[in-house]
Amino acid sequence: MAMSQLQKIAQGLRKVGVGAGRAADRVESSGRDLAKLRSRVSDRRLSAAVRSAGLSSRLASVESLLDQAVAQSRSTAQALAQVDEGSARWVGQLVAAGAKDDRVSPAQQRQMEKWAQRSGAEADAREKQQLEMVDAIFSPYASAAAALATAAFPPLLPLTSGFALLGTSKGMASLLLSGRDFLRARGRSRNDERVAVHGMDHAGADVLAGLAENAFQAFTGVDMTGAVGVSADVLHRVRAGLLRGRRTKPTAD
Amino acid sequence: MSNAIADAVDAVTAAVQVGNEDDVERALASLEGLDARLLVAELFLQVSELAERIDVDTLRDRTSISIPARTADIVDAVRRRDLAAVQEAVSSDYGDVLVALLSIIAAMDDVANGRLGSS
Repeated sequence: MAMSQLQKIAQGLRKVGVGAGRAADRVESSGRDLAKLRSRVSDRRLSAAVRSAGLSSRLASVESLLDQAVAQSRSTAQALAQVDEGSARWVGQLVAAGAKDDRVSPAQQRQMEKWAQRSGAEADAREKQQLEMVDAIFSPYASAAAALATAAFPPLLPLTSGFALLGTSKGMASLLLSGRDFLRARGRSRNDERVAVHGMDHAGADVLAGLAENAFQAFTGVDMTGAVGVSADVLHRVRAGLLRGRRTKPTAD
Repeated sequence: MSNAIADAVDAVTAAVQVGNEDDVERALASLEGLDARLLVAELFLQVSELAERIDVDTLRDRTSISIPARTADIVDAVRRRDLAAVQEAVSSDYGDVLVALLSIIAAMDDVANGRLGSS
């Protein structure tokens, strides 16, 4: 089997497994909600009211249905969790099979082993880490933009507008970085920066912050809002850069 | 979503380690349209994690993969979560930042796992 096929199958299997693991969590959570609902239905006062209304048999059938739903949600969650575990095992077997194939390199085996080991919970934890990292990397710029707009508005508006009109986004980005350093030096928290908006022209500050963000994007190529994805053009250049950088001979023994 | 980014980055670095153009192209294609900030975040995470296991001098001595001239500055900037400093060290735009970080990850992973020139 070609390596690319093996990779595709392994990746696909783990996606199914991780998806099943997440679904198992959701089903388990729904099961707990159903169990709570079931206990409410059995509430003494409700039962008494239902009996007095002559609807006891209806209540019994609702209770029975809820019991079935709770039991089914448990078994469904268990089955989904088994799919998650099973897919990791299958990928492990694929990796073992791949190891016997001389077209599969150790690096590719290692990559598939990583996929096999990544559970749904680990994927969620990684997502959390990524979001925290996004905040750590990008919030200083957003804060600096807002703070600069706050602190410098209105005197800076004509200046920054001029930068934007002239297209000297690098200058604007430098201003942003200065603003960030200034704020760090003053030891202000992000919350303080937001509070500092008080008394300023909010609309004007927004315009300035928007200009600053655009300038940041023009300078860095990264959209601060996350609205723009990685483009094919950028990836084309990345491919060329990565392949250009690949040495033909190892420098280590 | 996030797992897709981590998996895709793993695939790119494995392909770079092997040096197979088709694999690099295929792995990079799976990054298209993903959140550019999350990709930067994942690359920062991987560089930070690998930098705990291997220092830049050892990396430079042992890697078979070309890494940026200012790798030490880049790794230091990544540890400080300073994208502007990474860009300054690369002296170019987002695409080159990606090339630099992916190369460093591929090289560090290769050396950290003791599988040099694994093609």
